[in-house]
Amino acid sequence: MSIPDYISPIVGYRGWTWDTKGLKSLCGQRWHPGLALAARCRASAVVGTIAGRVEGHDSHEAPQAECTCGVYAAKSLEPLRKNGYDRCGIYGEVCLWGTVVEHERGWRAQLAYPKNLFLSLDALPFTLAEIWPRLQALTLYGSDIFVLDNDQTISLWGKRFGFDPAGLDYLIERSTGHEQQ
Amino acid sequence: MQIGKPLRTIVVEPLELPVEQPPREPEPEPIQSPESESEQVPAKQ
Repeated sequence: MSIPDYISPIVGYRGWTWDTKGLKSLCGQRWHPGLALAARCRASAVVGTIAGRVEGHDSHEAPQAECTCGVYAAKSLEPLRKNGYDRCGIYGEVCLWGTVVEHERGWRAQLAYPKNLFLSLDALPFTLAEIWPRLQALTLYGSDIFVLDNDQTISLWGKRFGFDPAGLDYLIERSTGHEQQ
Repeated sequence: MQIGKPLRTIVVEPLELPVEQPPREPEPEPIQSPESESEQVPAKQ
């Protein structure tokens, strides 16, 4: 029996894309509500020859220190901003657990689940008809949801209380303002 | 995402899981190779 190094999940930062079905990694991997994302090594599926070298290896449990597999997360928001991942639509904190490989500026984990989600204004559709189905898909994850408006963080949905009236008012005003333009 | 060089591998087992974990995929059963057929000796003529 192995003794764990930590008994609480590690919290990192990452970006997602989102649609009416929910969250997806930037590589297209779907994140399912209520179920941790389990990493799988796909390196064996991309066996090929690059610059004369044979790439790829047998499949193994993810992540391994010598491989690049695992669910990625940064230790701070800085690498996300530097690489433009914060403008992908959604970013937030993510819980990581299982086998975790620590890197200088991030982590590669075996299991992951979003802890909270921040929606950038650029990624929000203007009309409520477009926003609503997307938001409902997001609430299924049970993670707190916020909207970022410049320096302002507006609570939109919380696990304990559901939709925040102030957040909904903000979306309605934004939508109405857009229709009047 | 560029996260720099690997430093160490750790095991994180939360006392309280954030969500349900997907079931582990069962280990693949080793495929038993069919018994090799004995080489046929050509009949002496």
